[in-house]
Amino acid sequence: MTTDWTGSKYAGIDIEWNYVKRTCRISMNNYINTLLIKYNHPRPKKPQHALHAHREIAYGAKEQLIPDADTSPSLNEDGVKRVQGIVGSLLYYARAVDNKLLATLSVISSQQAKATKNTAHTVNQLLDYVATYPADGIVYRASNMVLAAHSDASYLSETNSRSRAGAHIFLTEDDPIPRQNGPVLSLSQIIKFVMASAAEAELAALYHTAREMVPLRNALDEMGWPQPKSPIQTDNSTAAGFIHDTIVQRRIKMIWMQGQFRFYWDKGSTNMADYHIQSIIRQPIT
Amino acid sequence: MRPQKDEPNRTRITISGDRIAYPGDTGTKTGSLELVKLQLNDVLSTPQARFAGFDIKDFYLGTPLDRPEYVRIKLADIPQEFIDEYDLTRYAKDGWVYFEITKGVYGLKQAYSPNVCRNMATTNASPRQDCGATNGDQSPLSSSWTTSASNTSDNDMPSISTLHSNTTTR
Repeated sequence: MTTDWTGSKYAGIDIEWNYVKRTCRISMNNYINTLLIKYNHPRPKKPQHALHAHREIAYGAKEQLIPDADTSPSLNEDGVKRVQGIVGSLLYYARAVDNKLLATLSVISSQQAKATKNTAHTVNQLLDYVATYPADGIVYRASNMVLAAHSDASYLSETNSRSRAGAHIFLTEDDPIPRQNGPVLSLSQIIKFVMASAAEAELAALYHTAREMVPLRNALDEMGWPQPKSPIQTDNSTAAGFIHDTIVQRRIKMIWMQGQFRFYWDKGSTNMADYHIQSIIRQPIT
Repeated sequence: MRPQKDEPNRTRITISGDRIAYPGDTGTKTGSLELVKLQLNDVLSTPQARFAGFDIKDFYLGTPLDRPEYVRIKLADIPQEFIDEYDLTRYAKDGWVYFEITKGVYGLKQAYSPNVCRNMATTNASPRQDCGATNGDQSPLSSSWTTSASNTSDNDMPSISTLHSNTTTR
């Protein structure tokens, strides 16, 4: 048996403890370097600061349309396997210490079975990004261990008229608007059903967020941290109105989850889940 | 040959897990990433708490199984040194030696099962000095054991853990 009294390594994660400030930073220091060597990806000549290609916004358009279907050539079997391998490796890394990658990975993974040249281009840009920032991490601070979340959604931003739900779940204090902390869990997932409105997509995102929080609440209870109603922030006032019955709508299942949760509205610029719903539908290679 | 190891010459016996029909649960209970992060926050948020890590080497080897398994090995495939030391010709039948597996060995699919882990926690319940544990009743961390090299079973069948223990410590 080996003993590490500094507690600087756990489950493959590097931990830097600062017991004076009562913070810790988690990262995976050699993971990206090993990945780049494994997939023979050269370091970018210029630093890559963007996770994915910018999507042009049609300002002033009456309706936002997602780009046409990807028509670039398909990858061969080896190319598809490479994409799948990179997505698998980065997905673990993203879930562990770099949640910024989740939205991009989610989009790539939805294409990986039928990966195209565009998909490979997106993957390469992502590898350039992680090569530029190989030791990103999450910082946690001491808190009252109250589970809280930010929830957000992007309406009709995915192919087949789907929307994306995002969440930033963290531990904090039971304040009216809880203070930030590093995420213990981040979500970025396509909502299975076609949503009828932006408010409905936001409600679906709230439901997904609350559902993921239930087992965490139970674990915290068992660890000796009894949980009050978990605060969940949304930036959609219509969705908040549905929940609090200030706007009358046909009741849905999520509204009855209020026993364990406290939903509140706050402006979108403070919503950390916003990061996980950015649409990155690929652009044609030029 | 593992030249980078303290013991460069090793022989390890592996059981063919795909040929074993084990009626119990062979799944392994694992902690999730979320649970790891809750634990880190727990340490930060508990005054005076400190975090330490323990890595247990060969955690499942030598774990008492809840039911024995049986294998046979061709006598011709066993080095003469072992045959002589354990008098294996005494157990040979038609050129095969039959072994009873009573403890964890590589390849056993039930080696990680909840039943076996429970056996380990209860049969190795002595407090461990070097990790500072004061109560070894529950935590597998407190498990400490040495596989006896003289535990040939009463039913005239050599134990695979006996052979294994010796092959790895030579």
